[in-house]
Amino acid sequence: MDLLVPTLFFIVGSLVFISITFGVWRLLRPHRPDANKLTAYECGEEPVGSAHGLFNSRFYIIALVFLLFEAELLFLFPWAVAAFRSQAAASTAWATFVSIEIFLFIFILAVGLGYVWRKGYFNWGKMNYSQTLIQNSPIPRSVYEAFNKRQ
Amino acid sequence: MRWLFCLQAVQLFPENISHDLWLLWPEIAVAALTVVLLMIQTALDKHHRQWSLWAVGVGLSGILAALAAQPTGETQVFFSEMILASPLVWQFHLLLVSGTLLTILLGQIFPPKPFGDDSKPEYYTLLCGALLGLLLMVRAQNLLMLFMALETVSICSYGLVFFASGKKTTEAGVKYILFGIFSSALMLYGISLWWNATGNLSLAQVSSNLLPVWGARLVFLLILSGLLFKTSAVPFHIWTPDVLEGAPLPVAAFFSVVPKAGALAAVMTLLTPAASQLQVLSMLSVLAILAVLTLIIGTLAAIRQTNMRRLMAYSAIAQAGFILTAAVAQAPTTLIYYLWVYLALNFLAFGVMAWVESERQSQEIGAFAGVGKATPTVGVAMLVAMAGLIGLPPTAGFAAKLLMFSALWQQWQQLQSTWLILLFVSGLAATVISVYFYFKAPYQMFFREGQLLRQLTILQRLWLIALSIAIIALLVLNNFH
Amino acid sequence: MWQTLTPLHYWILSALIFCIGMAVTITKRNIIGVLMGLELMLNAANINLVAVWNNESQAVEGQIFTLFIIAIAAAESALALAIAYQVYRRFGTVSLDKISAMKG
Repeated sequence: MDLLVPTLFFIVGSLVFISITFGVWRLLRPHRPDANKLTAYECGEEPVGSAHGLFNSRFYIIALVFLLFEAELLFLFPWAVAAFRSQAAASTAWATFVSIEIFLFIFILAVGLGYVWRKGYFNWGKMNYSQTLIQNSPIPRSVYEAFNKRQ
Repeated sequence: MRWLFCLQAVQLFPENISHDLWLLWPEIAVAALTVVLLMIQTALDKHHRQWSLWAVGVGLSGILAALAAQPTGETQVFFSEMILASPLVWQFHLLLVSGTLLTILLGQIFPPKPFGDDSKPEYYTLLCGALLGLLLMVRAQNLLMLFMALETVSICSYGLVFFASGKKTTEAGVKYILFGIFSSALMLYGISLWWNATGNLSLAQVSSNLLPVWGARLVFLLILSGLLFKTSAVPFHIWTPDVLEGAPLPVAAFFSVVPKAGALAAVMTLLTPAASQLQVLSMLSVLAILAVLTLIIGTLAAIRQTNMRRLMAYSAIAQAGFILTAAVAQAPTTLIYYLWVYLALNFLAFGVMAWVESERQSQEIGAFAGVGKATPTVGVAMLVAMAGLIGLPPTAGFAAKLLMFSALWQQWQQLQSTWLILLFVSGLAATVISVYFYFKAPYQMFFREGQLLRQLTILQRLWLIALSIAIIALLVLNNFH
Repeated sequence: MWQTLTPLHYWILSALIFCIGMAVTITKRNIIGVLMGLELMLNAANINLVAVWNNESQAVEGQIFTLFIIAIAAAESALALAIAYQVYRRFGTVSLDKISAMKG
């Protein structure tokens, strides 16, 4: 029973948090809906349809990197709970040690992140099919050129 | 959730942190080197990538020199009984760091062709990561530590295969990672059973034994499987030929020796609690049967190989059988000596193979035709390497095999197990049969005709001569105890 | 009812999952399928590791082990999926039967 109250608190708290965020958005944003904007957000994919559809393989690499960094966060949680609660934490040497240790851990993760960034795996690589897309497009070519000039 | 708060009640924390950290300095140094290498690749552009070669060369040489300068005198278990420091661990560390350094040198002196310049720094990072895992593996006193170390080696190794290109490499990489995860899953299940039976993950002290004998055997075999995979012993040897054929040559040389040393040290550690808790004889007979199978399968499969890389891979399996024999004999000094000799022999052989591969663009044994006549240095070096791998007298391979068999004989006199005699006999038989396939390449080199396009560079000549001399010198250096 | 749940229940569950994972690993010919089987095997070990904990024993090493395994499994499957991607690019398939550039 003693777990019921915190669980309830979490459920109510998350509902309140979400309502506040949506309320703030509603107050701040302009309201100009169109068909595309009204669909559910699926990171650029069609939200409704067969689940067996093909995804762009460039999602794949980002997903892999995400998976790694997300899983590493596992270690921060037990650290935060345990590091300063033990009897050993009474000693300054121990407290210094665990603090340095966790910062080293995050530093190594940051080096990994910097490496992935520098290697350009987060870039949405440019593809060469844009020319054929333009040819099949109902919009005249001059519109594209004008748009490119403006940029 | 609530269990997390129990962490405070457990005395997992070391008493004297600075003292323990100091004992861990080789691992810390290698870890720092790995991170520095990654930072170099992030910070510098393509044209300054040779900095990473300098960093890894200077770093590893420094660590090797510092290790050699301060041998560990006393045996102690530290970090809450997680990690061991002992003279034996120190010897293993020397071996592992030297092996990694030799791998880097081999790649530099005999540059393999599909080594993209752009990806080289990553290669050093992964190599250092694997070394870090191996250094921890030889001194792990806790199953959690052992498993983490093993996985560090594995994950880096899976990446290392991919520094060549082509269909063969991809196929080798897939087989390697799938077999690797499979064997580590088996090991993990064994560890979880061990944890359930004893309530303890420590190998240094085992509190209770709730398992029946067959259960203990099963758990032992399951835990062993992850280590046997690294040793390329039967039944976890299947990846070896494909990976050694498909991987870049220095990586193949690395895989054939260095992870074996780490895994065998861990096997020896596993046998220590077995001695007190799990009926040592039944565990040793399990190991002995595996060693016999490894010897037979490696030797028989090597006979019909026509590709030099695959021949060396099956040779590596057969040698794994011999190395396991040292574990069965429970003779750590002999094991270390055998591993040093095997390291020198294999890197000499792989040097010759690298040169012939880049000269003839082929891995076949036929590609060795006439090489020995045209450049005697290469021919003699190959002859020395192959004679050593068989165990013929002028080389240290002879002393290594002799020490191994005498250690096994002593163990048999102590335990009187039939399996040990079987192992002894199959070891002798494997040595005799191996004469046939090891001399295939030297035969081609001296008794067949062929044209050569290039000469050896000075460094390549130095590599071959130095390692050949080392192999002869190791014969004198050993102390026949 | 829930009070009678003993470690034995967990051991049987984990043994079942381990066997299912092993069967999937051995019989599937698709790399992704094999990886799913391997994940099942790893998670069977996870169940075993957390099974024996209770308020009295306070032996948390098993739980800590589980955290490490989750992280390792993530790293390994990321690497394996990247390799599967590479395989698809080279061979045009992820079926293990059709990947053979080397003999024997």
